[in-house]
Amino acid sequence: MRRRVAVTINGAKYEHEVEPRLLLVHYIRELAGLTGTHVGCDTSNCGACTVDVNGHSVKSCTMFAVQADGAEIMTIEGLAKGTTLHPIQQAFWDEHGLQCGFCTPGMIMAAKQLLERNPNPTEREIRLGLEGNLCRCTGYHNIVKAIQAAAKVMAPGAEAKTPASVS
Amino acid sequence: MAVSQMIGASIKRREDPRLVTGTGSYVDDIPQTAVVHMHVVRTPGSSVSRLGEPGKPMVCSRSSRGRT
Repeated sequence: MRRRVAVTINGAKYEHEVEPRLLLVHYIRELAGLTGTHVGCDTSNCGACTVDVNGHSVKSCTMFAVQADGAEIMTIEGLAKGTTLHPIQQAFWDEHGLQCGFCTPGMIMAAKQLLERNPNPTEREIRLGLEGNLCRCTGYHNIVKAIQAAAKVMAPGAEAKTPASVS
Repeated sequence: MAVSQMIGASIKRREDPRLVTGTGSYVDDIPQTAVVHMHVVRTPGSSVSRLGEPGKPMVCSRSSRGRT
């Protein structure tokens, strides 16, 4: 039996009749058409599908779409303001925090949550905070550097939203 | 840029803005409608000749396992 689900994703309202077994990530990708959120493993290991649900970081392949009914969701597509990248996105670019980019949306959404909870994390805290996200290209070193760089830019009193470098 | 400045220099990747904003395009992002689907059938033998007709059980000269 289909159930009605209404959610807000990146400020836009979506409403669909869905099978109760439909996972949130498939709702986001197939019904809302936002393919920036990736399915890497389908088993909640890799974190490529990480999104923000009511301010909490969630692996969206772990949640049914019906459980998100009424929720405010943010995906990677909702992070930049127009053509201005979010400081975390800018830092991933500047610090070479990605190669193929498949894990990147999940990494950035997890990093966003991490920095909201802990604006000035140590390297160890960043590595612990991202242990639910897997990357098979970079070896994590530059991802950690990117998050450290983003934390500096986002720190209270830092130069407001100045990209670290633009070429 | 002089060659001497290029060696060892960090090059700004042009593909990153779309990859960090979720606007990259991976195979899984291709819509399922209006696309051609393909199946790959592999022989169970390493060096065999395929005998018989398409759609019928496959007969190989050195291995009789496998179907089309």
